[in-house]
Amino acid sequence: MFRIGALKQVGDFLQDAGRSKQSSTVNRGISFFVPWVLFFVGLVVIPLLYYTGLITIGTVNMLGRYMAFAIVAVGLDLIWGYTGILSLCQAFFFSLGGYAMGMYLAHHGGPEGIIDANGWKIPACLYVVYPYKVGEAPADALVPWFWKPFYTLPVTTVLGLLVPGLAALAIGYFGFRSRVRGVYFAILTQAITVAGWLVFCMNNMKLCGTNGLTRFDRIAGFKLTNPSVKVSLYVITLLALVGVYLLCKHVVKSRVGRILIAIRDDEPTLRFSGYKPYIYKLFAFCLAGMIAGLGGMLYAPQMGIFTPTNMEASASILVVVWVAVGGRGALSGAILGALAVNLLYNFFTSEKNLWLLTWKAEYWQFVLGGLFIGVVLLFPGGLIDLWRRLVGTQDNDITTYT
Amino acid sequence: MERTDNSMDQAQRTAEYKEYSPRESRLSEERYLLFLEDITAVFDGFKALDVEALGIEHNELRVIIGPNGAGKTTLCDVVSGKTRPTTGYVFYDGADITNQTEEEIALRGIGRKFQTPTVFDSLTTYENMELALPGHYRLWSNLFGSTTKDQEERILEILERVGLIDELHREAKYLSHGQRQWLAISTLILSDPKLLLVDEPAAGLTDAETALTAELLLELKDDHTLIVIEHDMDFVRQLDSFVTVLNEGAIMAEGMMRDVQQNEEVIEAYLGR
Amino acid sequence: MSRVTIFCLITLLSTFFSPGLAPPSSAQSNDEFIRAEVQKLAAESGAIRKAAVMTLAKSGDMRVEAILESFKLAELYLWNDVVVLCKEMLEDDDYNEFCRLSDALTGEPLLDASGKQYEIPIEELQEIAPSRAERKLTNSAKFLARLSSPDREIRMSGAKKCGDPPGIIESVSQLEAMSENDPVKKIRYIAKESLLLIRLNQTTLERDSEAHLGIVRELGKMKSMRGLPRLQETYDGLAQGFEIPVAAKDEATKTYKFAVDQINGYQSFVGGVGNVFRGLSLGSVLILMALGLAITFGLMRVINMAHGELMMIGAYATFEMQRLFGHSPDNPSDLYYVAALPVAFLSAAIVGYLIEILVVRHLYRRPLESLLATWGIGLILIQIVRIRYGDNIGVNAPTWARGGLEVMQDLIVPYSRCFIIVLCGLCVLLIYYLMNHTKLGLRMRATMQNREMANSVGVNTGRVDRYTFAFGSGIAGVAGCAWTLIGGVTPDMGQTNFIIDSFLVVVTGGVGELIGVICAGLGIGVLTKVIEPTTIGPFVVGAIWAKILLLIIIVGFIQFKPAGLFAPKGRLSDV
Ligand SMILES: Nc1ncnc2c1ncn2[C@@H]1O[C@H](COP(=O)(O)OP(=O)(O)OP(=O)(O)O)[C@@H](O)[C@H]1O
Ligand SMILES: [Mg+2]
Repeated sequence: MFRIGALKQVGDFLQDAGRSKQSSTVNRGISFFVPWVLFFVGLVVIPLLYYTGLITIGTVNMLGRYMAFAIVAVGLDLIWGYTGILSLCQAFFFSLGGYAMGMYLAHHGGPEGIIDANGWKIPACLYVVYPYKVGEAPADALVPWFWKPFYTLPVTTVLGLLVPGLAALAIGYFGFRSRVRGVYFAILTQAITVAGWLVFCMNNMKLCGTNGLTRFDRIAGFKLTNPSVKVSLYVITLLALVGVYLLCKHVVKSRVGRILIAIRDDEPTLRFSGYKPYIYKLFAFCLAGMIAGLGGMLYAPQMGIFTPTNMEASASILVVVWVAVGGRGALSGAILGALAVNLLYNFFTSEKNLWLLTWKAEYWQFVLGGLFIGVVLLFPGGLIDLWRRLVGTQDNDITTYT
Repeated sequence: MERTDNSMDQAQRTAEYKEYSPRESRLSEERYLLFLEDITAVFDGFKALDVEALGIEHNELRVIIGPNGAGKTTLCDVVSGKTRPTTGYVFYDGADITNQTEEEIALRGIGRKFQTPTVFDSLTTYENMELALPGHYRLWSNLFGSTTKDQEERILEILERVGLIDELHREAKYLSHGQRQWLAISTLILSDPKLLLVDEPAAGLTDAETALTAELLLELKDDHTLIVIEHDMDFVRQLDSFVTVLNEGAIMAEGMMRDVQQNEEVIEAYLGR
Repeated sequence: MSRVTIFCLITLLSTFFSPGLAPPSSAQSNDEFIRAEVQKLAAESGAIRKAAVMTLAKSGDMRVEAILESFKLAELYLWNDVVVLCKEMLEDDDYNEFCRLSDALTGEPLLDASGKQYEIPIEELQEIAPSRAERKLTNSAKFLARLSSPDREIRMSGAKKCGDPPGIIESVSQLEAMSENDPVKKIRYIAKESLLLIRLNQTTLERDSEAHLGIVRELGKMKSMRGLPRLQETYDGLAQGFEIPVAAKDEATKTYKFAVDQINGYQSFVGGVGNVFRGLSLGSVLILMALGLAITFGLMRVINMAHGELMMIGAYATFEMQRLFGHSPDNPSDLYYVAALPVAFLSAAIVGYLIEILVVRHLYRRPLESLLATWGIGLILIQIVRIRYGDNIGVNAPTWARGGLEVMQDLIVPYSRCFIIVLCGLCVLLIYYLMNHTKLGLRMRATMQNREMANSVGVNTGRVDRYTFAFGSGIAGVAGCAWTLIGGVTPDMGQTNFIIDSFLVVVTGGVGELIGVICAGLGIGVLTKVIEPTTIGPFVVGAIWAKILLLIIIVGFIQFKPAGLFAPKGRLSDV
């Protein structure tokens, strides 16, 4: 056995190491505080503002939706920021979750529907597919089989996670197995998103075509229009976000996190150490996919409608820009970025009279395009990194992306 | 292939190679840990490697030398699964590993240090070492397990030995070339494989450090098998082991360093240049 | 001239001369003859009127079709015992109606002494109203008239119409003559086909089975597309066991089946070739797009997601040139396209050059980042164009790119698609030449293989990059210009239709060599177009599922060849 003489200093060094490890946990940077500050604001300040009447329920609802986006962003950061795999099908997974929940909501949606031959109520938005107007469905219109599992909330929730997870498993298996990497993988996932979008847009898929799932009414028996239901959904989304954040934090802090970073740095070398990178990539990819599905499930009831536009090619790249703006390689950056970009979107898509020109909603594309270019060229570390550089703190919770 | 008679030892070994074929003996022979049979590696019509037979015995330290482009690294690539040989077989520990993936080969206990030291840039020295700890290849154990006290001690022990202890929490991208070299060697030693492929461990190191490397490798020799590739002749002399000379992909001579050094052909092809 | 003589004359004419070639013996006498016949259209007796219609139809005069049409629409009137034409009704303030008179034969206005067109109160005119049967007859007679036209297009349409159900029996003799003597091969074919179709109608399996089956056989041999529905119908009837009292029913079924299979086989062959051709032209556009992508990716390891927008710019440049030249379908100015090609190239190349120096230059070897940044550029370009041009514009192909060449019976290759394929071939040759036989190409390859080395031996790699990028962009512009010939133009055409497909071409082909991109482009293009119309059971695959199927095929392919068809070689090729 290879032995190195027991050096007397080893003990000292052990202590040293222990100390430096401790100090690393004590020396928290911004990326540690951001989520907790956001959490506090989200859970205490926002409801307070609402109940004192300073913000409307619409704003709360909007923030809830943005938090659902933030959940997706955290997932993407895991796969992109840490593992270095640019996935352009997060919007697809998001939509799978969204459609799952949307189908549940449509089952229990208004108005009074037609009962098909098997005793199932045909969801109102499905009429478009058949295509009969409400009240005109002939006897042979049936609720498609794949709608049926989504009748109850528990099953829907499970499926809403499972289906995106399995989709990610399939895509990842074939992608990673053949060692498709880098841009090739990005393009492939992009193509898959587009294919999915095309399929969901088809009328004869019985997924309500481009109109999407509509006429939501109740969730678990509560009316969606009720403000307190909206606040509850908001809080649930917030808690889910915290949960997802903690989960991902655990992953990146564990040895798996280091393996993921190693994959990002130098995947071929990792193989020679006996690790099977594709297992870890698959794990991260599936986790990110399921997280995106969760985001979609929380988004659908708050939005009140779920259409295929949510999985357009541009939607997937948008997720990437959230993470990039916030700062990839820092989970809190993903949250920050998603909220920031969406608030910007909210700000810039309303018409304004500026000094010289009237700002139109369509100009948002310029802002977005500028964001894409700017974040890549000027602030590759995103907001988190910018802050860190301004304040000058060392931050051990971030893995810098180079 | 024509071989010059350097020493009894070499002639005898070569004769043994030629008779030996793991395939025919149905992998029962226990003498060699690694055996290459009829290996060729052809890139675009260029024959980078053409080895008729090469056997490495258990607990042997084999040094491979040869001029630039001789195919030394390619040999390691073939053994470790990075390059598929065009023809031929690689036997390791009684099994045919010719067509196995890098991971499978690594899991069988073949570790490798690359010619240009490869470490994970965004990980700290300590984290790099942690990843090299043996026996943590499963997802689950990595998700929930943590490094034990013993393992931590071992990591610090090695890093102390090679003088990287001060860089414990620095990201590897900030390390110097020599430090990276050390880190790569350290991770290899830590991962404790049965067979170590060490490609130019002394490149970029000072004389003292080279001596330390030699010392480390010789220590490992007790219960490991090593293949060491090196250009530095002083280093090779320090190792004082059986040497294989590769030239233009083929084995040109084999024997102890002092004998090989006398070989006219070798001198012309390599040492004399 | 007596009726008998005329009849003999006509029969002679139509039997012994190819009708189109029969020159009127003299314009003067011909006019007189026709006028006389037209006059008969106003006859009391229906029989005479019908005979006149037929005579007119067989006269071989081009003006007859218009006259018959007027007769059918009841626009002919008798005025002072002369047949006149009135296409226009006027109404004065007291609601009295007047007719503007024209010459029935020439259609020219009839002028009174003062040189004004006659406007006669409707009461003074006697209406010539064809009966139902006459109208029907006139309808067929119109087509009959076309048979005598010297214009091949008109003659061809006449020959076609005569055979369409129920078939104009009166045309048989003329068709017979045409099928033998017409100088145009296609017309001979159509005339024969029509003839057979008419005869098929006249014969039945019950009465004259032998003759009928003979016709069926012949139609099958001709691979007649027009005969197919009718043969199919009867065949289905036979197969379903209609009780047809036929002596040799098996024989009949067999003959029909053989003919139907023959036609179907040929048609699916022609359809297949047509699809392959459509695929080739789509593939050509994809190749033009992918070449630029592959070169820039190979050279700088950047992914240009705005490449589709450069194509779009090429298409809009073409649109601008069309506007500049005032080209429109009614007022064609084909020169515009000749100007559009270089303009499309240049405008896209200039934008590409700007993109390179402003953004891409900073992103070498960072493909993922370049993907994001160039996507942003794409968004901006799309929005600019959308604000400037709105959502949809039309580019009209130049006249020479309309229509197509019938290379085989029923196989028409559109000129536009031929042009695109040729254009693509030329571009590929140009690129090949540039890469392998010019200084720039040498420098480019050097930079591609080892940037640092190239730099140190004095290659200005920055300039090489800029030119290469601009050149690749320009080719995308050319692709856009070509696309206007076969597809629609929208601001987001690149993003929605092309960028992903052309990347899939690059992925499948590999960035190693041009040939990879070409093979993959043609392969993907052809596969798309071949899969699209395929039917599985009762379902047509369709564009969307074809895309998805293709994606699956590509993913499957990548499992075996991760680096594409032609992988870059060497040990540093790991991206
Ligand atoms: N993947 C590859 N593709 C093409 N050629 C290769 C590849 N791998 C190795 N070669 C060629 O094989 C030959 C042997 O290379 P190898 O790296 O094994 O030499 P070496 O003995 O390690 O040299 P050095 O002492 O310089 O490290 C070289 O000429 C090299 O170009
Ligand atoms: Mg080497």
